[in-house]
Amino acid sequence: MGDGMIWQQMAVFGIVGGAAVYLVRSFFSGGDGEGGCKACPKK
Amino acid sequence: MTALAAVGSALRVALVGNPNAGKTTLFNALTGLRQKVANYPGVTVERKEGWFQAEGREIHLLDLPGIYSMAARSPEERIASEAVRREGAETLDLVVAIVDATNLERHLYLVTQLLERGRPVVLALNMMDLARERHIVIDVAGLSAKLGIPVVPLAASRGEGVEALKRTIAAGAPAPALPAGLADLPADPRAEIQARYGWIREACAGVVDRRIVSPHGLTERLDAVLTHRAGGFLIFLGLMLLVFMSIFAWAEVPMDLIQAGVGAVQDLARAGFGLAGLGGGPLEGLVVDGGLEGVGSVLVFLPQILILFFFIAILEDSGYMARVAFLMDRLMRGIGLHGKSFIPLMSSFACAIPGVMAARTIDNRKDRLATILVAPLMSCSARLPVYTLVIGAFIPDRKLGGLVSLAALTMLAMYLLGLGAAMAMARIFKSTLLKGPPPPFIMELPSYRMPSVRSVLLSMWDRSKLFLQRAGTVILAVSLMLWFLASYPRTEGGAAAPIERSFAGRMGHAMEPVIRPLGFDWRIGVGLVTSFAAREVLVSTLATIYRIEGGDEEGGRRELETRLREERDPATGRPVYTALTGISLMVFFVLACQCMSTLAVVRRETGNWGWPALMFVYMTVLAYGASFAVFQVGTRMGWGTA
Repeated sequence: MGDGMIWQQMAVFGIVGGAAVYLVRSFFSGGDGEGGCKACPKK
Repeated sequence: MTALAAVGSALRVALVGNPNAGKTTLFNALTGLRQKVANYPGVTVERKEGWFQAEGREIHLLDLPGIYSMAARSPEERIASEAVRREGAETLDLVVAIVDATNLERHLYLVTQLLERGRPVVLALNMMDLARERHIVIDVAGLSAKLGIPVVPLAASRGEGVEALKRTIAAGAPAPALPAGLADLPADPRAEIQARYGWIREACAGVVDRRIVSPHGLTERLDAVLTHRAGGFLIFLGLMLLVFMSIFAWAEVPMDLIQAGVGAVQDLARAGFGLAGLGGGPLEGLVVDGGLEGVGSVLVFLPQILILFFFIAILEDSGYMARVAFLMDRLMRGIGLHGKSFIPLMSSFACAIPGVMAARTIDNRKDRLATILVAPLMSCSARLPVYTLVIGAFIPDRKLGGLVSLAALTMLAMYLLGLGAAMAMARIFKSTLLKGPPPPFIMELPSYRMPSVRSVLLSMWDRSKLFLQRAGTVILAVSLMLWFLASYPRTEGGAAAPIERSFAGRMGHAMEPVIRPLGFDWRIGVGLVTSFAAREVLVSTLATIYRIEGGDEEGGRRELETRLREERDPATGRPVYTALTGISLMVFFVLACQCMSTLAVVRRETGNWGWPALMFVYMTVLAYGASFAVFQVGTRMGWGTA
C-alpha cells in the first residue's frame, strides 16, 4: 500500500470516527429532534 | 441566568390566553418571528420569547402555552401561571390577555383570574373580523370600563389592530382594581366557578350584542357534514386518499430533477477526485458512494414531503383538522384515552418528537404516558420515503375502477394501520399498566377560515428545512459510517473485499436467521440496524449497498426500485423480494421504533429510561409479530411467489 493510500485510509477513519461520535452525542444529548426541531427545546 | 433576567430595562410582557385564541399568530405579528401556527389548540407547549420595539421602548414578549384557567393542573398551566406569578428579576410588567371575540364569555374566565393576580393587564380582543362576519357587535369602551383595563380590538391573522396594541403595550397600564363582584367570590370551587361565570355573563350583557346569530351559518352547515358520525370518517378517508394520490402524481417530475442534480454532483465530485489523483481511492468511495449517494437517495423524497405538508397545512389552517380531532375524540374516549390525546397523535403524523412533547397538554400522568407510548406508531414523514420506495418497487401502477390508485390505497392502509395500532395499544396500556378513568374533556371547534398562503408556505418551508437539516446531519453521518462498514475490512492489497465479507455484510448475514421468517434478507437486515438512526436511512442503506455491489453502475431511485424487483437468489433463481416482502417490510416500519431521537426525547419527557425501553421493546415485538404474520400467512396463501 503506497503512502497516498495510507493517508487516504487515515482520512477515511477520521471522518467515519467523527460521524460515529456525532451520532452517539446527538443521542445522549437528549435527541436533537429532527436535526434541530423547533418543537424540541435545546438544553 | 435566564433570558428573562438578562433583558435589563426592557418592558417584560407575556401573552396569555385560552388555547386557540390566536396567541401564536399575535406573537408572530408582534415580533415578526415565525412560530408554528395551527388552527387547533395546544400548539404552544412551551414558553417562547421574542422582541419588538414600540414608541421607542424595547419590549420583551413571552408567548405562554394556552390555558383555560390559572388552576395549574397540567404542566402547561403550571408554566403559564408560574410566569404570571413570578417575582424578582422575572416579574412581568404587563400581561396581554388575548381572547376570542366570538367566544368572549368563556375566554373572559381566565381574564378575571388574571385580574386577581394584580398584574397590569391589557385585553387583546382578537378575531374581530370573524365577530363582524357573525354580526357580533362588541362595545369595546364599555368592556374596558367593566373590566377596568385597556381593551384593543384586533384581527391578528390580518394584522389589523396590531400597531394599536403595540402602542398600548408601550404606554403600559396601571395595576387593575378588581371589579366589584369579583372581590368576594365563594371559597367552594364549584360555587366559585358559577359565581365567576355569573359575573362574566352580567358584564357581557351590556357590551356584547349578537344581532343575528344564524344557527345555519357556513361553519354549522359544514360541521353537520364533516363531523357526522359516519359520513365524517368517510370524508376524512377520501381526503387522505386524495392527498396520497397527489403525492404520487405530482412528485414524479421534481424527484427526477433532484435525482439528476444529485447524479451531476456525484459526477463532478468523481471528476474532482480524478484530477487530484485520488480517483478510485477510498476517499472518493466514502464521499461519492457513501455520503453523496446516501444523502442524495433520501433527498429525492423532498417533493413528497413538501406536497404532504402543503395539504396538511391547508387542512390545519382551515380548521378541518380540529374536526378530525373531534371525530377521533369519540374513538379515543371509547378506548379509555383522554380526548386531548389526539392532538399529540396528529402532530406525530409529522414527527413523533413534537407529538411526544405535545402530550404535555395532558394533565393526567397515566393518560400522558399512554399517549407518549403510542405516539410513535403514527406514520411520521420519515416513513414516507420507505413507503414510497417499496410501493414504487412492488405495487402495480394500477387504478381500481379507473379512479383510485393502488399505490395511494396502499399508502393509506399503512397510515391507518399505524393509527389502528396506536388505538389498540393505548387500550391495552389503559386497561393494564396505566389503568384509570379518562377525565372529561371539552373541545372547542374553531371557525372555518380560508387558509393563509403565508402560513401554508411557512409550514412547507419549516418541514423542508428540518428534512434538509436531517439529511445533512444524521443521514450523512449514518451514510458515511455505512459505506465504511460495507467496504471494510479491505484485502491485504488495500482493495475492497466483496460486500458480503464486509463488517456490514457479516452483520446482515448474522441477523438473517432472525429476520428470514419476515421475508427479509441480509441487506434489509443492515438497513434495519442503520435506520435506527433515522427511518429514511433504510433507503440510503439499500442504495449504498447496491452502489458498492454494482461498482460503477448508475444509481438512482428508479434503478434501486428495479434492482429490488429483479434481485434473484443465485441458488434458486427465485426473486429475493416480492410484493409480500415489500408489504411485510412496510408493516415492520409502521410498527417498529426505528428512531433514536424519539427514544431520547421520551426519556427526557418521562424522566427515566424505563419508559423508552418499554416503548422500544413493545414496538419491536409488535413489528416483528405483525411482519411475521403477514409474510408467513401470505406465503402459505401463495402470495409470495411472484
